[in-house]
Amino acid sequence: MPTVLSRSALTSTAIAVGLAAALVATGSSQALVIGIITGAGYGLVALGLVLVYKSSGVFNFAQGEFGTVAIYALYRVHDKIGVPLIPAIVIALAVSVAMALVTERVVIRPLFDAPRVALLVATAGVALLAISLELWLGEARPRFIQPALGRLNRLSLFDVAVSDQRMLVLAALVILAVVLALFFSRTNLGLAILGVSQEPVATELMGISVRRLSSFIWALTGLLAGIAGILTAPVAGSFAPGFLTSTALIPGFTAAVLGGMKSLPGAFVGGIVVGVAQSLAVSSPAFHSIPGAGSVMIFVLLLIVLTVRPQGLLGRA
Amino acid sequence: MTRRPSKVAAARGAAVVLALLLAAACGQKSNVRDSSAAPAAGDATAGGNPGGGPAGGSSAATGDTVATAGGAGAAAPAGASTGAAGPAAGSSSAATPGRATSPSGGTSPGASPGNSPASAAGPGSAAGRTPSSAAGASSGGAGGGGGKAAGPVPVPAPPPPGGGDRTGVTDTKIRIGIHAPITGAAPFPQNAFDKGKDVYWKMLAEKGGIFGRNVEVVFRDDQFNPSRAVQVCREMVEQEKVFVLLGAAGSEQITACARYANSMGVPYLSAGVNEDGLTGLSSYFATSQTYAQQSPVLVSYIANKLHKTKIAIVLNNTPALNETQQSVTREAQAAGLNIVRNSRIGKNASDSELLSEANALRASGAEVVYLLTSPVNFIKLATNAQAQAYSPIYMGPGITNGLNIVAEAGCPAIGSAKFLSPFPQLDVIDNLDPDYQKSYQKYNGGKGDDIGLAEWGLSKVIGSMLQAAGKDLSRQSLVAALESGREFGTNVYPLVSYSGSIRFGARSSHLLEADCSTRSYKTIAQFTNGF
Repeated sequence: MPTVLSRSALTSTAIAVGLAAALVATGSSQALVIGIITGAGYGLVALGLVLVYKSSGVFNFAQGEFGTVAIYALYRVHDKIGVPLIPAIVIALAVSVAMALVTERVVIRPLFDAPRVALLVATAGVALLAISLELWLGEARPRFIQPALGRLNRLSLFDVAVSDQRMLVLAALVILAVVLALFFSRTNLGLAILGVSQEPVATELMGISVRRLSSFIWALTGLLAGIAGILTAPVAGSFAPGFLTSTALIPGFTAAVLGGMKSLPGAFVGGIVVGVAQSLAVSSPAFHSIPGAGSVMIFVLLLIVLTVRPQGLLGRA
Repeated sequence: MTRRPSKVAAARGAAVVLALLLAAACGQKSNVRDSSAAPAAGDATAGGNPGGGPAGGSSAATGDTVATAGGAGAAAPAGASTGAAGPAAGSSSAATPGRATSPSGGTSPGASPGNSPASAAGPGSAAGRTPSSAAGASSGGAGGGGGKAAGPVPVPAPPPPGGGDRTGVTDTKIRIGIHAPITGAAPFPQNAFDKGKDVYWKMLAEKGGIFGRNVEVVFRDDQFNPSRAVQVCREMVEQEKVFVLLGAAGSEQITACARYANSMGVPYLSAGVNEDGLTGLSSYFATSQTYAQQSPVLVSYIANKLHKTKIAIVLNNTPALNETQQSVTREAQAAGLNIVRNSRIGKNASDSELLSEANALRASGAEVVYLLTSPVNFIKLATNAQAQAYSPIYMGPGITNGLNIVAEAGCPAIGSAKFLSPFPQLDVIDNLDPDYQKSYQKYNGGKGDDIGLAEWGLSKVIGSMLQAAGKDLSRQSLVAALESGREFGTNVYPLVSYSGSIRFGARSSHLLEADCSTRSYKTIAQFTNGF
C-alpha cells in the first residue's frame, strides 16, 4: 500500500506540475488560480463519492444533499437561532452524519445484496427526497451564510485575490485527501473496509462486522459532505435547495472518475483538473461563442476518461 | 457484492441518474394550483351587479381599471377613479374608438400630479402619474415612446363576432393561467407567490368581479426552464382550459410559452422581456417595457445621473438576449460611454465561470456593470467580485433582480445596485395604490411583500384588460380590446397601450435601488422613461 500511495502521489504531483507549467506558459495563469480554488470544492465532493465507492461499490448520488442539509442546518442554528459559529458547525455536521446514517440504515442496508445499480438509483431517490424536503421546509429563495473566515485580500496570485475561505477549502481538501489515503493504507480499520469491499463474506468470517463498517463509512461520507457544504456555500454567494447537487455533484463525479473512482489522491487531483479545465473553458476567448462552455468541458472530460481510460488517471486497470 | 457490474457500465448508469438528479435539483415544486382563488365566484356578484361591471364607488384600485378601459379623456380627471369611473367598464368596448390612434406616440405631457390610477384613461392624466413620461419625448427614444413597431406586422385577431372562443369563461368565472420560476436559477419563495396571486382578484370579487365574473388563477412553476415552461403552459391550456396565459418572469420561458400560446390562439401577456422571438406573435402583449426599451433609460441614468463613463455589459448567454445586447451597446455608444467589456455568462453559471467573470470585470475597470442575468447569478457574481475587492455599480433592466429577496441574500455584495422594474417597491406603494396593503392585510393577515405587489400590479393590468373586453368576453374580444389602442393604467404597472402592430406598448418603468442597511430595495424614480 505505501508503494501505491507513493506512486499515486508522484503521479498526482507530476500531473499537477505539468498542467500548471503549461497554463502559466500559455498565459492562462489566472485561469489556473481560479481553477484550483474552485476545483477544491469539487475535490471535496469527489472525496466522499470515492470513499463510498471504494468501500461498497456504490455511486452515492445523495452525497450532494448530505452537504446541502448541513448548510441548511448551519443557516438555521447560526443565522436564525443565533448559536455561536463553532457549536453551530458541529450541529450542522452532526445533522449531515445523521442523514447519512439514516440513509445507510433505511435504504442501503436492506439493499445490500441487490445489484449495485439498484443502490445507485436508491441514493438518487434519497437525493430527490432531500431536495423536496428542503423546498418544503426552506422554500426556494436564495439564502446566504457568512464565511467563517472573512478576510478577502490576504493573498493574491497572478492578480487573482484568494480569500481566506477559499484557502480554507483548499487546505481542507489537501488534508482530508492525505488523511484518508493514510487511513486506508496504514490502519487496520482502513484495510478492513477495503476487505469488505472486495470480499465481504471472507471479511465477515474473519470476525469483522460488515454492517458496522458500512455504518462507519456512511457516517464518514456524511461528515465529508457536510464539510464540503459548509466550506463552499459561503464562497458561492448564495444557496438554495439542491445546492451541492446542482453545483458540485457532476463536477465532483467527473473528478472522481478522472481520479480513478477508488483513489483518494485521485479525487484531489481530479477536482483540481476539473476546476482548471472548467475555468479555462469559460475564460478562453476561443470558447466564448459556446453557451455553457464550462459544463460542456466537464462532460467532454468525463466522456474522454470513460472511453479512453476508464480506470482514471490514478486508478488501476 | 458478487454481482457488481463493471465500472464502465455502472458509470453509464450513473450518468443517466445524474441527469435526472440535476433536473430535480433545479426544482420540484410544480403543479401548484389554487382553485380557491376568488371567493365564491359569482354568487356574491350575482345579487349585486350582474354585468354592471365594478359598480361605482369602487376603490381607486378598481376604479382606475375601469376608467382605463373607459378611456377617452373624459375619464381623465385624476383621482376620479371612484364612482364615475365605474360605468366605463361596461361601455368601455364601445367607448374608445377614438383612442385607437397613436398608442406609441403616447403620453402627452399632461401634468396632473394626482396619483389616481384613473389617470390612465386620459392622456393628460396619464402623464400626471408619469412625470417622466411627460419628458418622454426626450430620452424616450425607443422605450419611452412606448411600443415599438416591430418587423412583421402581427395578424390582428378577428373582431368578436358575438361568439368567439370562450374557453375558460363561464357566467361566473374566468380562469387564467400563470407560470413563473418558483424553482431553478431564479427561485422565488412559493409561499409569497401563493399568498399574493389572488389578493387583487379577491378584492375585485367583492366589488362585483368583472361583469359578474370572478377570476380563478391556475399557477404553475416553470422551473426557469423553457421546456418545462411549454409543458406547464400546455397543461394549463389543454387540461385546465384557461382563458388567457400570463408569464411572470424569465425571458426564455416567456418566449417559449408565448410561441406555444400563439400556436393555440390563446392570448398571452407577460412582463416585457426580449422582443426577438415575440415580435409577430398575434396573441402576445407585453405589459411592461421590454429590455430593449429600457436600454435608453438605463444609459441615460448612467450618463446623466451617475456621470460614469466606463461600463461593462454582462448578459445571460441565451440567443433571446442578442437584441438586448445590441440595443444597450448601441445606446451606450450613442451616449459616448466607453464599453470596456461586453460578455455573456451561462444561465446556470458555475463558480469558476462567475469568478472568472468577476476577475475580468475588475480588470476591465468598469465603473458600472449593466447586468441581465438571473438573480442567483447576479448574487454570486457580486459576491465573487467583492471577493476580488471590486464593487462596481450594478444596473440593469428586468423584473426579478429588484426584488427584496435579492437584496436580502445579496447584500452587502450588491452594494447600491439599481434595476428598472415594472412595479415600484413597497416604500411608495401606499402613495401610489393604498389598496394593496389594505387588501393584502385583509386577505392574508399580514404586510404585503414585493412579490405580492408584482402580482397585484399584473393582476390589475389584466383586470382592466378583461374589463375592456366587455361583457361578452371571448379571446377575440380581448385581443380586439387590446388592439383598439386604448390605454391601460394601474398606478402600479406603467401605462400601456397596443395596436394591431404594436405589442410592446409600455411607456415607462420604476427605478429601484438596493439599500443594504435594510437589505431591501427602495424606489428612486417612478414611472420614468429617461433621465
